[in-house]
Amino acid sequence: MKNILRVRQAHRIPSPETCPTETQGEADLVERAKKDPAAFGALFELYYGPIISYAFRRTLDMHVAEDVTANTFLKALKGIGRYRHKAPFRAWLFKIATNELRMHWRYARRHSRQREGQNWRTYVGNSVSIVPKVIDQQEIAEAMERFERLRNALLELPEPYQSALVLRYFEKFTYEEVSVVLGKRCGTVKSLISRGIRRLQERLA
Amino acid sequence: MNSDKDIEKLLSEMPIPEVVEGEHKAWLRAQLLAKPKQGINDIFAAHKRLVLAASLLLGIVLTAIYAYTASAPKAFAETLKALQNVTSMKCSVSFELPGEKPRNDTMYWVAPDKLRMDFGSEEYPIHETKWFEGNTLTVVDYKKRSAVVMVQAIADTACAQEGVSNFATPGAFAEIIRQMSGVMSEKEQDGHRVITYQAPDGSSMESTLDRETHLPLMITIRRATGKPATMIQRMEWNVSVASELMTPLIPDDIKVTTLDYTENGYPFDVRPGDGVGPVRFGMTREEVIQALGEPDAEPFENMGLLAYYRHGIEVSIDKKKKDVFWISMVVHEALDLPYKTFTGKTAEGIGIGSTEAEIVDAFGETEREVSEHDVVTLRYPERDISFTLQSGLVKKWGKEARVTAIVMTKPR
Repeated sequence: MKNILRVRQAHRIPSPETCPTETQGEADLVERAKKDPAAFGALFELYYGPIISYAFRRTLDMHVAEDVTANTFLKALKGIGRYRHKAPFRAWLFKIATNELRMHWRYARRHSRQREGQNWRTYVGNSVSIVPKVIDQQEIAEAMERFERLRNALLELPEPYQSALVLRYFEKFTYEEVSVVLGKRCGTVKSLISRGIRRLQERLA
Repeated sequence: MNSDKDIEKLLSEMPIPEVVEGEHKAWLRAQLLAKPKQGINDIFAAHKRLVLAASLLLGIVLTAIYAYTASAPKAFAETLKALQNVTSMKCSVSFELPGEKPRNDTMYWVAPDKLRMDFGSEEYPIHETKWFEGNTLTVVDYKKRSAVVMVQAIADTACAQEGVSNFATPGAFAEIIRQMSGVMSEKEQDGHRVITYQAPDGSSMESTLDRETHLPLMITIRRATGKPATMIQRMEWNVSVASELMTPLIPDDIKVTTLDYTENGYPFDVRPGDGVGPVRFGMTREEVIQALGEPDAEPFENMGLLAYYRHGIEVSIDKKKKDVFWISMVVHEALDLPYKTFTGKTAEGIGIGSTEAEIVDAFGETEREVSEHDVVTLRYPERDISFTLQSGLVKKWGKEARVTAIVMTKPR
């Protein structure tokens, strides 16, 4: 797979926050996809990038990210008939992806599999698209290493804290969307994020 | 980092990686938008690839049993007949798992139910060997210098679909045969018959059959991309397999744990927020070992996980605080690892095998999470305990979902 990585500075490049939550057009698309799997293709086009990037940011492993993404969309396609627009479609999809990631880690732990996160260098090496263009190869590698350090610190937190922080700060979800993904009340999510930041601070101190 | 604000700023402004869409997207799009599919790789989950390889191989052998009842494809009719007379087999299996180097293993089978699997081969040193015989499974891990002998671990025989040995089963093979009733093609190659089964999802299975004996010489399973996922090669039938090869041989310096699955584990009491039996949250690794004895394995190296197969318990030690922060209890069938079923219960009488209604009666209504294969998780964060319920995993429970795992965490 020749997936290419690029590093984006969250404050300069449009983030997933700009993805529609659920516009009327998207709601119509979802309704069409329930009856016609071909319409699912449009939803796939819209969310493939955000989902695979989310999976990669959490694992730093392209193989795992691809597997998680494939399973997420296969399950979404299978379960879209049960989606009732109670939450934005994006949050519903990320909920599936988050469950897939949990299952992956559970499986990895059960089967003594090597901790993921070792293979991002392979992809950064030869095929990196840079946004913004001023960043050179070396800077990308350094940015990735900084990200990996932060991600490793996040990994030491219990899983609900990790998910809440990643969804809020990397995926730019609203508290309400995070609460949908994690299946927790909004107040609980705020408290998770606040306590997660404090715990992260202890680890980075 | 001075304050929460600094951390928030760091998280918000950190350059983050983004995957640019590539071949995987095109492949996945094609998969999603193709007609409903079911392929060879769907028969088993990805982590059961070896299981698939083994099932395929021994399954073909076991076709002799099924040839009279199952609707086997015509293309394999002569092969099925020939397989009725085979008594042994040797082959090499190479397979690829995502994110892992390709592996090459060796398998031996001797009728009726002896099986040896060497993980590794001439090219790669053997790091693990498994012997199946009757109801007993012996596993020797040469790297970790440990061995487990599981007595009566398998229902019926080593080839039964139950517990740790859910491969090489008549049931699994029946499923493969059913799958193979789809599109077939045949060609001649190097004097051999090559039969290809094309699954609707694009994956395929290619069997090379000997013209004279009709027995398979090679089987290749390809992904939808055309890349081989599993190759069974150098298949030799009715070969002489030395009996000592099929008898478990454990080097003297290897620690052996014997687990008799006819005996129950000790029924430790489960105390949410406090511990299980003699293990309490906050204990050090040494204290746990003093309480429960040496662990049967430490499957996740350097991660502080102590596995007590004999009790059906896993204990995790916090790397930094160096104390117990997580304990899980499981049913024998739940994992590939050889855990016995945990037999303890909470003060309310909840344990492995309890139903959702019983949990709700004892602990009250709570958040209910349903994930893949209808696995239900009931979490009680205020009591630092959660229950995983599954149906269909343990045959004796029937179809009702029951507790297959209990996880407790250290109170915050």
